[in-house]
Amino acid sequence: MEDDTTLIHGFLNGDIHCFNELIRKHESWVHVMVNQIVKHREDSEDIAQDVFVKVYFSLKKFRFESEFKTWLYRIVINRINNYFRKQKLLSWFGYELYEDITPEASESNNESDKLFSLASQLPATQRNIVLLRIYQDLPFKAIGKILSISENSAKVSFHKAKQNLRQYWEQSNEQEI
Amino acid sequence: MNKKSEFIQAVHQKIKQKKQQRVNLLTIGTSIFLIIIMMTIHQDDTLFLTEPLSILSDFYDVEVYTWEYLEDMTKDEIFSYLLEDESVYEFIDFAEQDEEIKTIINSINWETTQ
Repeated sequence: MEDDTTLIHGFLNGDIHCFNELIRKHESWVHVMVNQIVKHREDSEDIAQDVFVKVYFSLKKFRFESEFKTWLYRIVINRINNYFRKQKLLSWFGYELYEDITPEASESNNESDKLFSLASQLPATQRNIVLLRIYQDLPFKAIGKILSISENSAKVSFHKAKQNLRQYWEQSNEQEI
Repeated sequence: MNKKSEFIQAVHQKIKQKKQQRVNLLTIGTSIFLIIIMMTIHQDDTLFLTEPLSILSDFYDVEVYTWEYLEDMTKDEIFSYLLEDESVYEFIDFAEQDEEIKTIINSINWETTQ
């Protein structure tokens, strides 16, 4: 399998197969990452597609200063943030979120799913760090690079995110009782 | 067709739509720009006042009569008028037919006039 840099150069020279190969290479983890935080199946599919559409139009701006995967992480994070921003906006206008929850999503009601939904309520930066740290298992140094913040800031934000999640968890348990 | 190729197809479909959107936006933008340029060149009035102007132009063909009112001329004014505006033959005809002009001509001291 060819490396990302070769494929990017190939695409920039007009070979669309190189772009398709890039999609094949990265599609799986992008899907998994989006699915972990966006529980609506159609929406997560849509976001994953949008990520690669963005790659298609922006790849000429890629400067090879970071790894392609780091750059791609940023796009995924931005798309997810846009999604939640849009959902928030829709909720202000009275639209119900996740209107068409698939049977699989609605039936799975375990603690892991509950944690996912609580993570989606976190402020954007904290949510991004949780997503990258817990669900992608990335080191803080890499998270810092992706989010353009220092390693220490990433650690502090992650600590705050954990505190908030604990608080949300307790509040939701109290409501259930 | 497997799921992966379906995904790639969906991505390409979206790329195509986005390209089309960009073309549409460019067309709309160019049209608006051209309209603004045209409005600037034609200075608004020719674009918006075509009909009222055409109505006004109908009046251009109407003949207008104006009455000329002349105050009584002095003898010197009549004389200088005749000298300036009439040919010699017309002047003679005129002078022979009009008693008043005859009187005026007779009353002129030619020596001082020349």
